[in-house]
Amino acid sequence: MSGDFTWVKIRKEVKARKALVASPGLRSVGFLVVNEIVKCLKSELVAEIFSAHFPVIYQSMPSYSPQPELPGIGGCIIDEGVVRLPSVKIFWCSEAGLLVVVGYHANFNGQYEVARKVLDLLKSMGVEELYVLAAHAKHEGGEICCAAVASDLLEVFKGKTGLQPCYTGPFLGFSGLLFGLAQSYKMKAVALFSKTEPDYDNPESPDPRAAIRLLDFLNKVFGLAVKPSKELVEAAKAIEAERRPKGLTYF
Amino acid sequence: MPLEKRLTSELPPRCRVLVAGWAGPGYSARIAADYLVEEFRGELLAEIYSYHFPAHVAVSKEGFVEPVKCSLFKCKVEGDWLLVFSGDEEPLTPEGQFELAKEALEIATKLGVREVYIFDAVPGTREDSGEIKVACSDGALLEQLKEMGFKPLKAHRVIGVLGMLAGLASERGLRTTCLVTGTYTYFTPSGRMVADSRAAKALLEAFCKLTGLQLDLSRISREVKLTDSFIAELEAEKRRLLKAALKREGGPSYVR
Repeated sequence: MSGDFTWVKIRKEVKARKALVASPGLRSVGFLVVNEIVKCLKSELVAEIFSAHFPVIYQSMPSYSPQPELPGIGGCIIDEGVVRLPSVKIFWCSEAGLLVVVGYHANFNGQYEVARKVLDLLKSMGVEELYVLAAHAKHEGGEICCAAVASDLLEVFKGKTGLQPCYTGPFLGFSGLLFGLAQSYKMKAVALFSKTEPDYDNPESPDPRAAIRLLDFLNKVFGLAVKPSKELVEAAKAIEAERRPKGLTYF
Repeated sequence: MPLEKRLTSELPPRCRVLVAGWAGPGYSARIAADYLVEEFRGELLAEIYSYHFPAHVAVSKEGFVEPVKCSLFKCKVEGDWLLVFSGDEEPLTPEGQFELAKEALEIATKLGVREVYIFDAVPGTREDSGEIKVACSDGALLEQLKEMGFKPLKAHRVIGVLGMLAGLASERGLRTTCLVTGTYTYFTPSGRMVADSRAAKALLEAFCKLTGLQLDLSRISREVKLTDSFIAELEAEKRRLLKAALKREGGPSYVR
């Protein structure tokens, strides 16, 4: 694919050293977390990346596993009566001095193009450290585990946080590509995976409990003060209640 | 070269409005777009061909062959020019849909278009047919539309070329309005689709209300009546056949 299929709209010039990244991946854990941060810290939308490669209807399932023969259907999203194109959004959280990237999965034709465009932009905004938020579904893994683009970086992060790597395997979609390509931009990239249970019928169905766990961790490590929203807490409680067998009060 | 454009007549000096209607649910958006061209005696301005269109051609009853394409018409209306963009088939990729939308928008903006209207339809029941909801490029315009009595569309996705067109036009700061009608697709017992002219008429009425254009709707009103009586006749015939079949000895006992 060639041509100007992916373009950037900058709303405000800002510089930041650190960025958090997530997209609607496995159980949408990272996606929930970045949305909570954006809401709670009254973040400002500073840039958007648009692309002709963003479907509004995905044909591949899940959306973060694009297939060349399933390009999806393009279009626009209507939200409360207002038309908008799908986009990757970059928010500036001035309170925390962080950029927050809310991702969108491109189809097979555009996934690398979009990832590169986002990294180019982040580089130009001064980003040196990238924290990619996601989930893992390893039964034997820790509640939160990590991975990094370089072994020395991993050792430093392990020493600082006490986290261990536990996930081995592919890291799909927008977040995975950003994580993998960050090295070629000389960015220090760390991925944080919160433990979840896979939902095979709907892999992107949100897991609020895993999101709250990851949010708590970020609050400690980055000194954020993000209180999980009422909706997220209630959704987590509802899931917990559903899991509890009826009639077993001691469970 | 993934896109080919063929200009078929002279560019009009200046246009204010672009309207787009594509074949979709109930065929209503396309009927509405075609009706504007017919009523305002529109002239074909350009044909656009995309390599992302399905790889087939249509052969007509008369034996002519027609490649898949979309068309841009110019219509002279009340001293001004109106552009109508329509097509039958969607490019099969978001990239192809984007290129077509961008091309149409580029022609339109070069001609001075500042307002874009998108005709769209969502499938529903017969009662939903003709119920119009709107979405637009910004909150201020939405408030104006609400004051005019239009209901906003809460959540929806306008897919394909028209969705891309609406999104791109909004991004470029053009005053963009999506008119979305509920539509009902009726199929005859032999599987032929009966287009929803009631929904098409509702789109045209809403468009005229928004633009202040005078349009003779008598032809489409007649079409609505014909469609209603045609469906009523078919339904009556279906009921009669079902009754007769059930009366017959040995009919299926599980029919309720």
